[in-house]
Parts: sequence; C-alpha cells; structure tokens
Amino acid sequence: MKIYNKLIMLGLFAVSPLTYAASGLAFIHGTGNQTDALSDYWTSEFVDSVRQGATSPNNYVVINCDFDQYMWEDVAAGCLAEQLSTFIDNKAITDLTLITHSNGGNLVRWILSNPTWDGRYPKIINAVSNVIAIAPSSGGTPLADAVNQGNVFETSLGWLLGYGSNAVKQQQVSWMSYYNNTWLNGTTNRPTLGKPFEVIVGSDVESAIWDSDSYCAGYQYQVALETTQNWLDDCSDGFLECQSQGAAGTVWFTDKQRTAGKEPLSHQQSRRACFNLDTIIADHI
Amino acid sequence: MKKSIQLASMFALTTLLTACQSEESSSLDATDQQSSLITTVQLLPPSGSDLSVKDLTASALPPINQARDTIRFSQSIDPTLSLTAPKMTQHQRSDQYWRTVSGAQLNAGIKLAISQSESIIRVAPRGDNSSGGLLHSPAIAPEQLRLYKINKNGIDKSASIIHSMSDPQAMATAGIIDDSSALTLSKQASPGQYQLQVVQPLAAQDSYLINVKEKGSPYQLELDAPAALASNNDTLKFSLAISDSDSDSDIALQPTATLKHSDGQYYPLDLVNIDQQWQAKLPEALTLPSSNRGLSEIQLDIETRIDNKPVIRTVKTAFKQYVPSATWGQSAQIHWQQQLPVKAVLDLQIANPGRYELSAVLVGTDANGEARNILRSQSALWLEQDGQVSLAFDADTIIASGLKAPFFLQALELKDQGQMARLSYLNHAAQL
Repeated sequence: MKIYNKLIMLGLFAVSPLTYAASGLAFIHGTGNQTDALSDYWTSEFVDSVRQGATSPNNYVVINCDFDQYMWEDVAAGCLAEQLSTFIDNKAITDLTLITHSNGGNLVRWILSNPTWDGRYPKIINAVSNVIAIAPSSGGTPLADAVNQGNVFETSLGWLLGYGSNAVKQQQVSWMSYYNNTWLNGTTNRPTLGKPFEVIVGSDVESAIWDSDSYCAGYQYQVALETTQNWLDDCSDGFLECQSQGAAGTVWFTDKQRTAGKEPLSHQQSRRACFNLDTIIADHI
Repeated sequence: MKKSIQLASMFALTTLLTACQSEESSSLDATDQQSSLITTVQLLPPSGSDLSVKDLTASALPPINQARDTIRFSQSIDPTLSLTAPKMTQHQRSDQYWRTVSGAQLNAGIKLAISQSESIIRVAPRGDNSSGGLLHSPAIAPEQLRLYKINKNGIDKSASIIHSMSDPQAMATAGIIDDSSALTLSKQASPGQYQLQVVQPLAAQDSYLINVKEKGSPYQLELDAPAALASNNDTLKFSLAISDSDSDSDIALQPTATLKHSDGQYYPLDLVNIDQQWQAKLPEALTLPSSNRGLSEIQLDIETRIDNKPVIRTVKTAFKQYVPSATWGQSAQIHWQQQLPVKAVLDLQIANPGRYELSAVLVGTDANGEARNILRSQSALWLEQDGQVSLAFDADTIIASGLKAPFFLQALELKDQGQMARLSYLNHAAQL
C-alpha cells in the first residue's frame, strides 16, 4: 500500500501543471528601435546583476522591438506581446516580473489596460505578477513638445527629417494626458492596472567634472541632461519630471532614498548599474 | 518511464479529469434546473459628465484595429475604488514660445522678448520644400550666436549675458535630436527686448525654429480645451488666460490659433470671443484628420505687455477628433443564475462595420448597505451590422466578494477600437 501511495503521488506530480510552473523576468527598453537592447540599451552588467535576484535567474528575456512607433501599433505593443507570449510558452511562466525603462512603462500599461485589443494580451496579463517601472514617462515630457513644435513652414517635413518619431509625439504632455484619460489605466481617478506597477523615480542630474559619480553611464550625457533640465521642473532626471514618472502606479522609491551615497539617477543612469540600482532591484524581485 | 509509474500517472490523470468534468456538469444541471432567469433593465439617461452619442455617423477612415476575434476579459477590482467619470477637458500651461524665422532674418538679427532672467533660447534648423526639393537648413554652432540687450539707447554690446551654451551633439544625447543649439541667459539678464543674431552666413531661405523657455516665469498662459471632439461639432470652444502673480489687472489677450493634424499639416483658425470663452471655427474640409492615428492639436499664440514688460507665449493641447459611429440601446438583458447576475447583453447600433469594445463595473452591496465594486468586465468584437455584445460576470468572483443584491452596472463605456475613440460613458448605468 505504501508503494502504491508513493506511485500515486509520483503520478500526480508528473501530470501536475505545477511541475512546470516557473517565474520569469523580462527587460523592456524605452523609446527606440532595438535589435540588441542587451548591449545597446541595458548592458550585460545591469541585466546579469538584476536577474541574480530572481527565483530562476536563467528564465529571462531582453525585449527587442520598435518602440519608435505609437505604443498601440503591432510593431510596438504587438511585438512586445509576441516576445512575451513566446517566453511565457517556452518557459511555462506563471509568475512574470517586468522591468521597464522610460517609454517601456507605457507599452506595458497599454497591454495591461487593453486586454480586448489583441488576443495575446489576456495570457500576458494573467502571467504578470509585478511591474518595476524605472523612470516611466507616464505623464509625458515637455521635451517631446519642444522637439515636436513648429509651424506652417514645416508642414510634414519635420517627420520626414526624423525630428520626432511617433513615440516622441505620443510622449508630449497633452498627448499622454489624453491617452492616460482614455486608453491607459493606473493614473489618478482612472481604473487601476490590476497588477502592481512599482515606480523608481530619478530626481536630479549631477555633472560636476570633479565628481566621479557624474561619470557613471557617461559624463557627456550628464552635461546634456543638465541643459535639458531647463525645460523641466526642478525635480527631474533630465528627461522626465518626477511628477510624470510618478503619474501612474505606486512610487516604490525616489533615487536618493535608496541609492548608494544617496546619489540621484539621471535618465541615462537609471538603466545602468549605477549607485547599486541593480542590486536594489535584485534584492526586491 | 517504468510501467508502474506510467500506470499511476494515467490513473491520477483520469481521476483528475473525471473530477473536473463531473463538477462542471452537475453545476450546470443544477443551474439550469434551479434558477436561470433573464430580466430586462432600462439604462439610465446620461447626466453630469456622462458622454453620449448623438446622430450616428459612419467613419470613412480605415480602422486601426481590424481584429475579428471576440475577446472577453474580467478581473476583480478594489471594492472601495471610486469610479470617476473620465475628464472631458484638458488643462495645459506654458511659460515658453516658439517662432519660425529665416536665415536672412537671423543674419540681420531678430528681436526676442524676455521676461525672466536665466531663460533659455534654443535654435533648431528646420526643413523647407518650397523649391520642390527637401532642404534641411544647417545646424548653427552656439559660438555663432550673439545675444544683446536692447535698451533706450539702442543695442547694448557692453556686457555678456550668456551663462552657458550647448551644441547639437550635447542636445542630442539628452533626447533633443533636431540639431538644436541652446544658450542660457545669466542671472543678470533683466527682462526686456533682446536681439539674437547669427554671425555665420546663412542662406536667406533657410528656416529655423526659435524656442524661448522662461522657466519660473510668473506669466503662464493657461488653456482649457476639450479632450475629444465629435465630427458633428464644427466649433472648438476653449478658455485662455494668463496667470500673473504681480498684477491684479485683467490682461486682454488677442490670440492667434492654428489647427495641427497628426500628419503635421497646419491650418490657421478664425477665433471669436463670446462671454469670455473663445470659439475656433473648424472649416468643413478640416473637421477631420486624414487618419485615425495620432491626435489633433490646437495651438494658441499671444503677444502682450504685463507691468510694461513684453510677454510672448505659445500654448497647445491635443484632442481626439472622431465620428460618433456607434451607440447602445436603451435597455440591457441581465442573465441570472442562482440569484447572481452572470451576464449583461446590450444591443449595439453601428454606423459602419468595425471593432467595438464595451466595458462596465459590476457593483454589489455590503452588509452596511454600501455599494462596493466587484469586477470590471470588458468585451470586444467585430460587428458588420447592428448586433449584441455581452459582458460576463464570473459567479465565483461575485460569491468571493461577499457582496449581495442590489447589484448595479456602473462605468459603462463604449469605445471604437478602429478610431481609438471613446464614444459613450455612463457613470450610473442601471440597477440590476
């Protein structure tokens, strides 16, 4: 009888879907048409460090899509859905953590907010357990307005010259306000996303030439982001205002609250292993 | 695999499948026999900030979402979450302005109004196709820019008022990728008129966009305008005001307006001021954009003087232009099982084939008589002609909520996924 019971248990274990249940991690880039986001957007140093905190460090995927397009387009959200869906199927993922940067947060919010748009979305929504949104452009940025401004002399030439991709147009402040109010959930007075959307906010840019911290992720970017801060609130990461980053979901922390040396995270630094950001996330997932 | 393990696996699998099947069939039998019921409820009329469709109109543009499959989705939601009607207007404010100038003008020197020290001036080359071909004006290095204060005696070249400069490469690394150069004024730069000049010889027909950003300025141009506009509205109403923390007097504004579609086309608009609200008349040929992608924008420019200082501002906002392509009927059929509402079926009248989404929140009542949310149900499908759409309410979720009758249908919303437009919204739709 004892052997029989063991065989029954073994049989149950063999056919149980729990056998294949697994957690997974996906890194979702921001605006841009990526073909090697691991090297060109995140760096292996960051990705490898973060995934060490996951239950199954080898169950991870780095997304490569054309996020120069409107978030809802098939080459953007559709591409993201396809890569996430394939990852979920191949690894039997039931517990998926998404790590996004910048406009990647909007792509994820689009999928979470619009389950009936695409037949692939419901499976992804059901598999997602948590989103960690690093510096998401939830409220848009005045810099997108600055780039997209013009008048009658330009007509459609601005787009031909590549001044502003549709993704940049979409991240203008009034455009994001419309999308947040109509097609995206998670902002104030809107339906919730149904999944935790934890936000890391970058609040400042430091570019002192004598300060080694200013060189993490490239000194030249820090200098430039200090210039663009002139178009933004005093609390900003050089590309996004703190208010925009915290417009959707729940603010997990603002950089200086947790980073090594209480250093701020510029928009360039918040996708790199700067000031222990990678280990902070690894310890959290 | 050993034969004994294979047998055990098959036995276990068979047992599990048998258990699932018998549970489902007995549940259905009991439901069918005991308490299936269909009732009809009247939907409440729109009120307050609800949105409703008047005069169905067919959309002539190709739909964005052409998926033919029916997709249903529901999930439980926070019982205490306040169901707030979506905002129908947008509020924008601006402390900056833009001007387009030619190469000849920049070489001769252009006047700029500055109302704030430490303002930043950005010079961005633009394109021109007036000759039939596409010409991209060259970038201007910041070292080629000269900025002088204009005072009573003329142009004052005695003092440097530039604090810092950024070249196009630096701007690009920060996300401004249009070959811009920028210079920041010093703290000593006082409000007034300035002259901006480019030393490097430019072609007369070159085109440049000048952006003056006055961060921290008390003079903010504020705009309130609709977030969406149906095609049967040929007038866009908006309010415009300039904030002024230093003055109590009303500032008369004489704005100029342009409509910009998402394809980049601009059109000047005629404005009238009626009872302190502005109206922009949309010419018939321009009432709708050429594509469902993207949004339209209205841009307002003003020039005025406040406390004897010249102030120039540009403000804009985006809005969705759409045709009212579908509406729901006046009633809904509610399907009940064991005294729980498990489905709502609504009739849809449509003006053209397309993909439409219906969503609503099912609300129940707690032991104290308070209304609490249970779940949000969404359903989208392709309709060739008038038809029905059903919202499913999972009985197990309702039971798990612990909430009882009376049940309510709230936040009922109809969207056209082809146009990416919200067509109707009822905050309180019906008591079931």
